[in-house]
Amino acid sequence: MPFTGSYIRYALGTWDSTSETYCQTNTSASDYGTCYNTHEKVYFVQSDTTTYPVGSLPCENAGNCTRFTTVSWYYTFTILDNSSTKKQVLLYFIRSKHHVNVLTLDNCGSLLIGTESVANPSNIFVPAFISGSPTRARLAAGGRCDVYDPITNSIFSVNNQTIGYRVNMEYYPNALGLKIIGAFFNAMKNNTFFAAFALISYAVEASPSLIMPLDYEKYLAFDELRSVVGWAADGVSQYGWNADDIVRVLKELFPDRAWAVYDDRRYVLYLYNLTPDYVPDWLIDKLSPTAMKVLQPPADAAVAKAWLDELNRRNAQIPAPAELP
Amino acid sequence: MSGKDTGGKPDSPRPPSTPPVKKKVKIRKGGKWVDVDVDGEVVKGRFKYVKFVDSDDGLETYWISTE
Repeated sequence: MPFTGSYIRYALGTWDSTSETYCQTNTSASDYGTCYNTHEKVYFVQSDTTTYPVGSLPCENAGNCTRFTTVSWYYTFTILDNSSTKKQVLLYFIRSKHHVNVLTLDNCGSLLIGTESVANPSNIFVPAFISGSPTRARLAAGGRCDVYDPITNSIFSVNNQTIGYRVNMEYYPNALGLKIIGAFFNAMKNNTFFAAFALISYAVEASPSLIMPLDYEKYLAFDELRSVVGWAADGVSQYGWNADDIVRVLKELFPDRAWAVYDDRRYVLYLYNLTPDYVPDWLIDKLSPTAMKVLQPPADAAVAKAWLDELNRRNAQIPAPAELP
Repeated sequence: MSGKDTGGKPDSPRPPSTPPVKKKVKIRKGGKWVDVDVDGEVVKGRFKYVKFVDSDDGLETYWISTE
């Protein structure tokens, strides 16, 4: 299936992953507060502003750390994706670098991604994706950070210098407007440093739509057709093969009916036993096709008219409000 | 004419018929600007389309107009 998509990058600090990056966190050492081999900046947490005033740490002076004076448990970010209700694929890639000390429950860093319905913002994570509390899934015994993958319902481990971990996720959102929620979990224990980077891409299936109001009972025999191109009450939002495949199948199954196929990869609306005269304006506004192509003009105008009438009936348009005087 | 002789010059012979000159329009197709000879225009919804026969597939085609 063709996909369209986009990506977002998110970073908490940056560092050079090809060299040994660390910050001196031993307060007795003469180089306390110095960060080594940073590409740009890491985050350094030191809440004691009496002993270590803001700006006094060597890494602050050198410009290779961002000083935090408060201890936060985690940082979250969101990606708002309103692109489609169709199948989506998430791919995320993370790198993280943490405190060099032995990992404990308090300085574990990880990345967690879930989803949130815009329609139901109180539902932070889709429950089916999270088995158990995120905290429990996030942390594990043995000094390792574990990250919960909501799609595979599995947990993978992240050590204190994870570079280039990649996860594929695939899900079918059930409502328009889905937020992808990400969170860098890093218990910012005092006197720690942290850097993480995530590249999150998402792709949306751009499968063509069959626009043909099927009678579910009448066409019950065409199980294969329904399983291939789907079936929807509105006769519009159906998934399927590529447009050429669907056109070939429909020519065999429905040579005497009127139907249309919208290829939303090439943005072409194919018309069979139809011409643009029979295509309702609301459908054009909805699909915004770059082109319409007439595969076959109507042999019988009544067939084309029946297609239009049934399509309009199943997609009753709400009239625009009357203009105020 | 109703058959009444007006006394004017006889009708000059009609020139051989020539096909009407089609309007040329540029469309954005396959990432390139292409000149097409259009047979008409259709307005559907918010959009205006130009009609022509696509030489690539021989199909009657309505392409979104950029004019």
